[in-house]
Amino acid sequence: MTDSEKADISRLIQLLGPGILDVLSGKQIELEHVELELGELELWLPLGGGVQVHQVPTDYSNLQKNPEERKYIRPDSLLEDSFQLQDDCFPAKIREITLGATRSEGGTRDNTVTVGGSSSLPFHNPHSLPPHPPVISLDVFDTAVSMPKALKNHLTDVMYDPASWAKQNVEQYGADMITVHLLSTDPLIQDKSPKDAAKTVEEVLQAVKVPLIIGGCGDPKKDAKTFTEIAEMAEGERLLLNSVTTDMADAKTLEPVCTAADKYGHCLLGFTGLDLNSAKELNRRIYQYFPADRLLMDLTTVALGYGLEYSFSIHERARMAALMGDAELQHPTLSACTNAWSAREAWMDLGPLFGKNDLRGPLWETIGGLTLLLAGVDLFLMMHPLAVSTLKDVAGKLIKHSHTTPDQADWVSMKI
Amino acid sequence: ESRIDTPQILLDIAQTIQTISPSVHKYLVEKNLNYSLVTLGPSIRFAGYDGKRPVMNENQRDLIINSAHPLTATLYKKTEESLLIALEEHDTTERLFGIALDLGTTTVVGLLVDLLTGEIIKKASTLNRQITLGEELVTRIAIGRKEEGRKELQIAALGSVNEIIHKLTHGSGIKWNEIYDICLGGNTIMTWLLAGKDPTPLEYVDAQVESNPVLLNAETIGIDALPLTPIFCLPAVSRFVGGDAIGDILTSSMHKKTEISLLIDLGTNGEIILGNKDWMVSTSCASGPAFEGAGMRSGMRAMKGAIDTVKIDKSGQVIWHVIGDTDPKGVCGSGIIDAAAAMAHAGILDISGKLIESAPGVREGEHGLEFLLVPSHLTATGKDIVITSEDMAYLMDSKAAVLAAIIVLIKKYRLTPLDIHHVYLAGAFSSFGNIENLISFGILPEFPSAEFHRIGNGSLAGAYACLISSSLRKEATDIAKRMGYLDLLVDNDFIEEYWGALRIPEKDELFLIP
Amino acid sequence: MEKEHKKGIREISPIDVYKLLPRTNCGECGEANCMAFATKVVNGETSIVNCPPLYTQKYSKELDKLEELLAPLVQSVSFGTGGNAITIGGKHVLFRHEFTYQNPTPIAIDLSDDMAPDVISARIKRVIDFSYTYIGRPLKLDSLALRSVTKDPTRFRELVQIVCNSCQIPLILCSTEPDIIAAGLSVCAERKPLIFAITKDNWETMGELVLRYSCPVVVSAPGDLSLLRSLVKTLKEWGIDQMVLDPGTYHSDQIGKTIFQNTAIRKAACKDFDPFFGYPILGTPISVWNGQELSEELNRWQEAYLASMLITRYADLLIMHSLEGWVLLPQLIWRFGIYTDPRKPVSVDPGVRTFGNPDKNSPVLITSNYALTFFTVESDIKTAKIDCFLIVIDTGGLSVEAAVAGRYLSAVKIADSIRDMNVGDFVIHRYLIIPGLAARLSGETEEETGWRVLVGPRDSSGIGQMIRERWPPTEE
Ligand code: B12
Ligand code: SF4
Repeated sequence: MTDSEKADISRLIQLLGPGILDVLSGKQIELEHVELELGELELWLPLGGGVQVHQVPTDYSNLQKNPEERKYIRPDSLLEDSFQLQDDCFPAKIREITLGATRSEGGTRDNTVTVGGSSSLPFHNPHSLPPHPPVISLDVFDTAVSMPKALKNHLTDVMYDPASWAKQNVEQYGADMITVHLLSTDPLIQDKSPKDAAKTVEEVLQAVKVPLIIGGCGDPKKDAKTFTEIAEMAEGERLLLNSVTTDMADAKTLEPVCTAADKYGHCLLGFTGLDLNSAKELNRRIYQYFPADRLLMDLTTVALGYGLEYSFSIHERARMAALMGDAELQHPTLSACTNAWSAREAWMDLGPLFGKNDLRGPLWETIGGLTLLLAGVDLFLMMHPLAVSTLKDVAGKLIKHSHTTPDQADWVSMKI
Repeated sequence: ESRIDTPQILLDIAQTIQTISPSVHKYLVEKNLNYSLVTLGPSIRFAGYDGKRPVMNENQRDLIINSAHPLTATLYKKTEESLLIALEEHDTTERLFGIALDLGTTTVVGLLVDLLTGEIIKKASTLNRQITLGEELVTRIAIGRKEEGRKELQIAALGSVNEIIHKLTHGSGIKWNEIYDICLGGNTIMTWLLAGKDPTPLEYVDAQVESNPVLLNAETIGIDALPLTPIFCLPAVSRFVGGDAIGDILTSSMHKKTEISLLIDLGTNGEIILGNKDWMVSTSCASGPAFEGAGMRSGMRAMKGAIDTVKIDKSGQVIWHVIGDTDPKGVCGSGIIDAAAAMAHAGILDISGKLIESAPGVREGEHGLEFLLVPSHLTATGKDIVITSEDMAYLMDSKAAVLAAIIVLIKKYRLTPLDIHHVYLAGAFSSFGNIENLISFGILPEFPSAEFHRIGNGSLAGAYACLISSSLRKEATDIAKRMGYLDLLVDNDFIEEYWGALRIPEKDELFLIP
Repeated sequence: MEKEHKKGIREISPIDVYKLLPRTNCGECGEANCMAFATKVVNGETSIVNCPPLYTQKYSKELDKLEELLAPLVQSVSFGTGGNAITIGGKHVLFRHEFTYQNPTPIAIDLSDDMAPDVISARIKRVIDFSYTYIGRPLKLDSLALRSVTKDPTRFRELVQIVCNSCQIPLILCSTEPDIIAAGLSVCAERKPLIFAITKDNWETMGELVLRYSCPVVVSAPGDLSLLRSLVKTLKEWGIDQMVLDPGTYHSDQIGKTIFQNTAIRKAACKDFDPFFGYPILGTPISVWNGQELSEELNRWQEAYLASMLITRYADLLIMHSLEGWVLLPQLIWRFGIYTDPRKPVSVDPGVRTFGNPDKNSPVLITSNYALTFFTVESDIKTAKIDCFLIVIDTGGLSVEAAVAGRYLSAVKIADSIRDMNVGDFVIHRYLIIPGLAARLSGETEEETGWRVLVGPRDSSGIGQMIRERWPPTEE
């Protein structure tokens, strides 16, 4: 293609501009007074969906000159220029999923939460904010787990009673949801029966009226039994079952879990290890037995210092691919921020220079959460109250428009 | 069972050479006694030769001086010098023959060529005896690290080469001592092993491989030709892209075109080459011999008795075609691809290429599920011909490696399949009946702007071309020198693309790179 | 617009680079040929400076073109001198998964001229000494930002003087008054400090100063991206090119503004090839101290999380106030993490490491060369105070578990390493202790090596106990 032909094409695209997406969706566009000589028409759709071609009033002609050859003179006055924020438009969006069910919907919750629904990159454009604020679920364990002091401090009274623990999380720490981790069902821990686990869940369902997430023990066979039992017991509550994995597919327990979850109206979380292709494959398998519009994804959260950047990038990539049309990734995402506590730096005594364990730990969890918030994660599993309140606070502020007072950014000559 | 019938040899040689200009020439030795005084002795010249002073040794000079009969001298013209490689009594200038060889990992093929006319007199092939020592290249490198292993490998390779020479000379009226030039195309490891070189350096990631052609003498390594018959091995680019790939390029002429071409040669090595006259890059993927029919339960070479096309009609009935129209014995590479594509289309395979238990024709076999292609009462062996789930796993793995390699190569150079205007299929691959199936099964991406060409055994054709045209040897070396090589073993994009390629593309999926 | 915009690094084809190289395939660059070199340049694995022929007269035009082609969309800006010079910016892409982020965000701690001299000295010392060892390397602070609070040029000059006498690290001089900056420059000009800042009110005089001293400068227009562009455009016209952008760091309820602004700027540079926004961005978490909040702890908390968000969202340089270890540690670690090559895990050199005073009967432990693994294991061995040999196997930087899963740690790999490192010469016994997470390799490893294999605990913190209880092995 010659340069003049290329110029014609770009003019054509400019003409179509905002209309390109319409053309793609089947609508017709009428072009008037256009004359184009085209040998070969190759329409290239640039990445980022349809980016509206804008006219930026700038003058680029000087940029090519060799700096050495020019004589510099100070301009008489400020050369005005303006900035227009462009709105990206993406061809697809993330599914919206509601968790929990009120009485009128068949459950016993006082309210439901909805996650997902983003149609643009996370916090890239103030005109394109996520339709739902991130949801935070606080952890409750059904068995004693070793915890650093910074976490244990708040929980000494309730650690041995999931129902009270859940209540404290909701009433004192503002939990939007509660995750009940049924670790006691692990064959290598207490091997509690699914019936016992269901009983625990029932207690929590009665103690708090927020939607619930049910965490298994990680054993693909046991979890299948536990989830099936609980799915039936809690029919109509629209729980989120955390999680189904490729291990379950290999152990041939994926189908029964999915079937039960679907039958009793619950949602599922697909969990894979920092690999988009594995995530897509697992999702594809799940689609065979379970509706895509009730599936969430956990792509694995790793602690700061142990690979948080992997989690960050995988979420950025997943979100971008989903918005660009990859249907297998268009599920809301979940992050287990509590993993931050597995980092030595979160709880170990590092000496006086790095003192304040009670702040360093929560900060570790907070930074993990905020980083993934910026990567588009929709639902957070957390533990420390300070981390929870900070995340809620910051997320809220990112979503709300606010007038800026320039002074707030003026730090140069302030006295501290 | 495969050895009983003659293999279907791929000999589709493109004749792109205009003038025959081999690297060896014969001249009558002129001993002119008139010229001299008794004290000086006769003047010795080669009639019609006007090049640099030929290099010869004492014995040769003595032979010329002392010979009572007229002699014919054969000169081998290298870039820097001309070597005298043979002296024969009487005028033998009409007898100038050479052999072009393709030293493949599994098969060795040879052509007997009249170097005066360029005519191919005879063709022959045999299995590479190195197979008995190790099927895979990696295994052979491991053996070749030790000296005894190296000797064994060399002897095996030589055995096969000499067997070809024997087959070619036998009954053609041409003798082993009338072979004056040998040109060989083989991958790097094959070439090194033939030369007796230690292949250990070829194990490493950043193995720097000289892009100069390996030059040998028949006597140094033990080839049944004249002792000084030169052997020109086409130059290599990297440890896995060798002279055979260069031969493919010469045959395709992609190095002369302005449009961008993609060349694919899926042998055991799987070479993929991208470029045009301005630039060229290559890579290799361990595609495995699945595409040659090896490693599959009912797989066999493409020869008489092999199923090479498969269709499954709407009622689930399997329709096949056998090479030679006899009863089927097994399935060759082409047939396997056809079968896989047909099975996918008929819903017998799921999206990840696994057999679906409930699909018609699928049953429980010895080691898992299998699909019945041909029931025993219709086969020549009396046994069912099946495609097993292990076969499918192996096939998916091979196909993912190829597709990923192609995509990574194209992506790395910031191109898309739309930029490719010619696709060359070389080697066993080029005889596949149905290119559509290669795409629908997901071995190749779609190339909407490309013309497909089949170039058959490009390695052999390239060796043949270099045999009859010395200028092509320089072209070959030039290509090897400037070609960039991408090693996929350490490439992160490849791992990702590979995992993503482990699926059979949906029908409507336009396989364009996002 | 006829002129083609500059190509981003992900659009540049190795072919584009190849066409501008000498194409003699001489090999001086260490690659097989020019095409191989071009491929590596675009991949970020080598730079054009490694092709000596390019730097000869003959190829000067091509060199210019190549430099222009490969120039990052966000300019590099340097301040400080000599071995201490810091380079910021130099980024090619928006997302780190597109291309590794270059030039990790330096952190500057502030000092103000209203501080007493002893306070100043103590603070400087703390900044210089601050260090945390992570994956075997020291993570440190990078710069000092000197603020004029008194508005007195003399006091400012004194502050700068004290700092210059105490240390060599690069400086940022902060004031919007040109004469105060001039006072500071009079004592430290040769250290090429970064000047904060040019504003719409002072651009003429401050610009003059900056040009005279050839210093890089921050262009500040809080909350007003159009003004920022106007300033940059004007200064470019004037010949000032080493600029850093300050769109203003907002906090508390206005934190969104900063996130959106930074994103808009970086996107304009990397996706729209905007030459006026193709400069590094300054983040100032120190801003939180200018809010209504009086509690120091709360301010530190906010500064801490704000700093991390700025590192994530495109800040190329940070100015902070808190010097608390707990506030700064996560920033140093996050900065390290986000700037690693997203595809290549950090690794250490393979080989044999000895701990304590091992002898011919000491245990031999196997591990992978992923940096995190190695340093974790090393630390656990040291804590357990055992004498042993640690064989670090080249798994391409993958952790034990990942390497086993990806077949980068295999019986053959172990066997080769044992042989190449001559481990048989160090010890009389023939026992190998492999990580618990590599248990499935034990049988094959015994076959490949001819040694016996003991499977150790899954976590290296259990090594001490295992050695005490099970070494030397009693069975034959
Ligand atoms: C980060 C990560 C990655 C990163 C790589 C980081 C790295 N450098 O390895 C990336 C994204 C590249 C990756 C890739 C893969 N990964 Co990965 N990865 C992880 C993750 C999240 C953390 C690994 C880590 O950092 N571990 C920390 C280090 C310190 O652990 P370590 O090396 O094992 O060392 C410990 C022990 O082994 C022991 N130890 C070490 N040495 C010694 C020595 C002795 C003598 C003893 C006694 C003990 C001992 O103590 C150490 C400290 O605790 C884990 C899951 C997890 N653990 O949370 C998965 C995980 C290891 N990965 C997994 C997989 C499958 C893969 C891939 C194959 C995925 C794929 N489809 O390609 C690839 C493999 C590589 C490849 N390219 O082919 C699986 C492994 C499953 C299995 N057991 O088979 C895991 C467990 C995730 C999962 N559950 O699915 N991975
Ligand atoms: S040094 Fe330069 S000219 Fe020589 S091979 Fe490398 S890139 Fe080519």
